[in-house]
Amino acid sequence: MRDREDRPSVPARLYAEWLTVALLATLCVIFLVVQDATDRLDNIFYDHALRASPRPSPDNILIVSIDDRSLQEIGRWPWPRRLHAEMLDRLAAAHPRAIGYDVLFVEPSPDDLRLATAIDKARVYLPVLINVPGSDGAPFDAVNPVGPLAKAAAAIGHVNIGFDGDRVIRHVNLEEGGGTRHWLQLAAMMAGVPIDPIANPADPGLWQSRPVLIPYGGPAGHIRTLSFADVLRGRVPPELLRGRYILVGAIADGMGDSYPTPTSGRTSQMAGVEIQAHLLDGLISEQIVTPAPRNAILAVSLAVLWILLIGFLWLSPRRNGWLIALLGVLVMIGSYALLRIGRIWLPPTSALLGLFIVYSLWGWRRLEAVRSYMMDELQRLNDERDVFPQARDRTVASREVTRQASLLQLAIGRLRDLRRFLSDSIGNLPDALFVTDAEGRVLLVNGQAERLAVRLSVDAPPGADIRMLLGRLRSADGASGANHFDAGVEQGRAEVFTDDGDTFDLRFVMQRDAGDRHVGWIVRIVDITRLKQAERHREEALQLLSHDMRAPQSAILTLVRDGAISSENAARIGGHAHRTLALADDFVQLARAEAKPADYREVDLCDVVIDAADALWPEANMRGISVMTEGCDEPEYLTGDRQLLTRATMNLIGNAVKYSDAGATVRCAVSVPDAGHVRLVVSDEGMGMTDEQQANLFRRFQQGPREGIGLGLALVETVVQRHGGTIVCESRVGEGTRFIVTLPRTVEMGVSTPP
Amino acid sequence: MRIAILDDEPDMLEFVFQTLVDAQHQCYKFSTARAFSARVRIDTFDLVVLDWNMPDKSGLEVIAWLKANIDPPPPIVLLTNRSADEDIVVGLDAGADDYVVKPVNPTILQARVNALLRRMTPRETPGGIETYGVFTLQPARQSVTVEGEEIVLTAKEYDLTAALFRNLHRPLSRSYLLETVWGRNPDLPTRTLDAHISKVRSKIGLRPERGFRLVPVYSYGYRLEPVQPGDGEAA
Repeated sequence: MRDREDRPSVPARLYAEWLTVALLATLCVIFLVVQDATDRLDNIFYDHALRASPRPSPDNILIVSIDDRSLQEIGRWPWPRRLHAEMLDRLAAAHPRAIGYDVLFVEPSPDDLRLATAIDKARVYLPVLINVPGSDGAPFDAVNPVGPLAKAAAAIGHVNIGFDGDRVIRHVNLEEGGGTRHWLQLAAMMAGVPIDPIANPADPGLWQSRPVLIPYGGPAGHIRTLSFADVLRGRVPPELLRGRYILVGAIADGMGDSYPTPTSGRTSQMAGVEIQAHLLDGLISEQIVTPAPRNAILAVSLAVLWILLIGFLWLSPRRNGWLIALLGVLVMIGSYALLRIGRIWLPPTSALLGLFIVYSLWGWRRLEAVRSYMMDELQRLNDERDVFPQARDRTVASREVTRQASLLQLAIGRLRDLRRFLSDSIGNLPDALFVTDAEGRVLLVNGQAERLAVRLSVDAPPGADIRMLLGRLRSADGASGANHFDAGVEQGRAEVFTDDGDTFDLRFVMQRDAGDRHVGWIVRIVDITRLKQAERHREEALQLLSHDMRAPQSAILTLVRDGAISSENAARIGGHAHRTLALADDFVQLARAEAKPADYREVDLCDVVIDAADALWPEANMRGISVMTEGCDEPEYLTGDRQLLTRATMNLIGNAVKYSDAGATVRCAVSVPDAGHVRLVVSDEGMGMTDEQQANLFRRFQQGPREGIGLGLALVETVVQRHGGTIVCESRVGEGTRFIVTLPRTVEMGVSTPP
Repeated sequence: MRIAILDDEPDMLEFVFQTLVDAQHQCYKFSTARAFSARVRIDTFDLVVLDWNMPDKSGLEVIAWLKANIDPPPPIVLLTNRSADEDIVVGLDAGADDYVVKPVNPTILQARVNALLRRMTPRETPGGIETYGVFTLQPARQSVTVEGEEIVLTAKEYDLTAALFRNLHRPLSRSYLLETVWGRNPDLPTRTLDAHISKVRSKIGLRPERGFRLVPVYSYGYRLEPVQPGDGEAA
């Protein structure tokens, strides 16, 4: 971790990348706009926009066309000026609004006067021919109509049209000029557009200004057209011409005066006169489109670009995707709307291209930054030392592509190892462990925890509420174990019990994440039943040593105080000593019975009973008590520990002998209650016991009706339990006592393990 | 007979000494294991009575030392306060020939010591009639006569009965009994011996009422001992 500060963190590096991308993209966009590099693309967009907004053919404009039919009827072009004069006469008679006569009359002719007279009859606009370059080194030549005609005309206008890069006619310059002269466009003149000379008179070259885009209303033939011949021959009613703008020009294929336009389609072109007519229509109906100044294009393009760039900093990659789509659509819709409503053409492509460039650049740089960061981290992770016992093979391929893959593979492998390691560690914990979320739902359990749940007969799969399980446990005051858990303390510990009397140590601790939020609990539950039992046994042993064993010794000391011992006292001393010995023996026997690894073999219960009865014979015989064995004609086998069983039977018979009156009979009856069990009933004819005495019968160190009963019966109970059997005591005061021991013929596993 | 007695507790040492002297034996007292082993190197004893728990050396260590250094080792009777059956087996397995649990009953101690010494003298000729209390063994007829009633046994039952009676007082290991009665036969079910013991016991009435008690020595074997009048809880 030492070198962490030496390298830029991911954010710092990303900022640097962002700045680079922003500068690059800005420069790209400026270049695109200044160099008109996106003209072709813009034109495609413009053409589509234009075709998408057709207009009805204008009512106030007519084209008188010099078409193929006219040529057939009248003859070969050029026609004599007399013919044009006749035409103008006929037109003038109909009183049109204005006439644009798009025919060049630059060379003198004998009929000029006749034509000039005709021109004078109406508002006729004539074209000027501008040739670039001009003759004799002049920048251009402007060839006006011959003198009389020029004088007679209402005005002279230029009919130059603007070629775009793809040779398609989209715009014209309303004014052109050079030196001190300048001309307005012919159609603009007809529409009455005022002259607004802005050119520098000192510039001798040809200049062009006031560019406008021709708002084509439709394809070729969109404007109503009359054949020259028809008008000339009077086949057209004069009313049709009255008050209208008339444009006269050549349309016939052979005349050469035709050009491609956005609306003329892919195969046909549009005649110059038609283009003039569309321009005129636009100017009159004020539908003319002005191109936006370059600065505006630049401003819009850069604005869009920077909105996206700022978006990169603040928004997620997904939202950036949406943002770029939104900006693109907005730019296109905005451009189209501006064209339709504002009549301003703002080319959208530079902005769109800017978006595209910046997105690609950013995508590349960001990926690169993230990738290099990831590779660094993977390499560092790979160089770190493993906490796991077995280290992985750390060889990393040298070639970049395989190196990345192998580093990633190693990292994933380590992650798997880690997860495995953790889950194994938790799974193999010797204590029951539950991990829950903040609400107490179980997220993780280990094997011991599952076994504990089974033992408490609770279902505790992941997802279950831990309180269900804790509810099975009670603390000493009877409160549910779940209460401890709900107290809301950081950690806690409690000793809890099951209804069966098993004791558990419950510990839990609140789990917090790196942000110190409470995310869950870790609950550990340990079975301390045996520990508690051992503690209790130790208490009992202390009780034995501190009282039960001491009492006879004290009594002996009292008896020997005088020095001389009477034979009566000697007998009493002997009695006390025997009592101490018996207690010690019983104590050892009981401890052995609890701790001894059981030695289970086939045992004949009859052998056991006879061994026990024989062992007690001297005692019984001394008091004239006979111990009878019944039901032992045939062996009754069971699986058991002969030593323990004999000791237990001896204790039962010993008790019976002890509490019987002299001359009485103690019966030991072996019987078979069912196929799986054998039974031993030891009964006496003694004094019997009260119910209260019976209730405390099997408690350790509980003195019986006479001295020294306690440990003996505790041993019996322990042995019977270890064999999976049951012991029942039936007793009536004055009638005698019966102990009924029932043992399974086979000891179940689990009961056989010593504590 | 010459008997060495080793016990660190003077009262007990004196009591055992007196008991065995009463039984017409020549006894020597030792209160430390070191003194005992020094004497044993240069002297011969017919039998040794040992205390298990002594301050300088445990009885088991003394047994091991005797077995390793004296050839042939004398019979050994272990005296012990340890009444648990497991401890008895440990003592027997360590090489003691018999054991007596304290507090020592003088009659029992005398009987056990005499039984061990008798083993060393040649046995009475086999084939003859042997009488033990109310039981009379008749090898020729493979029968036992009890209180005038003759009970015929199978060959194995008779051999078992004879082995038990001839080794009165002496703890007999299961392997000893199996070898004596059945010979070397590894395929014998472990239950066979217990079943035959049960059989013999019920057939000839080998019960305390008739003066003999068959005592199981857990995980070791059996011992037949005559019932002493006033016998308490003999293990």
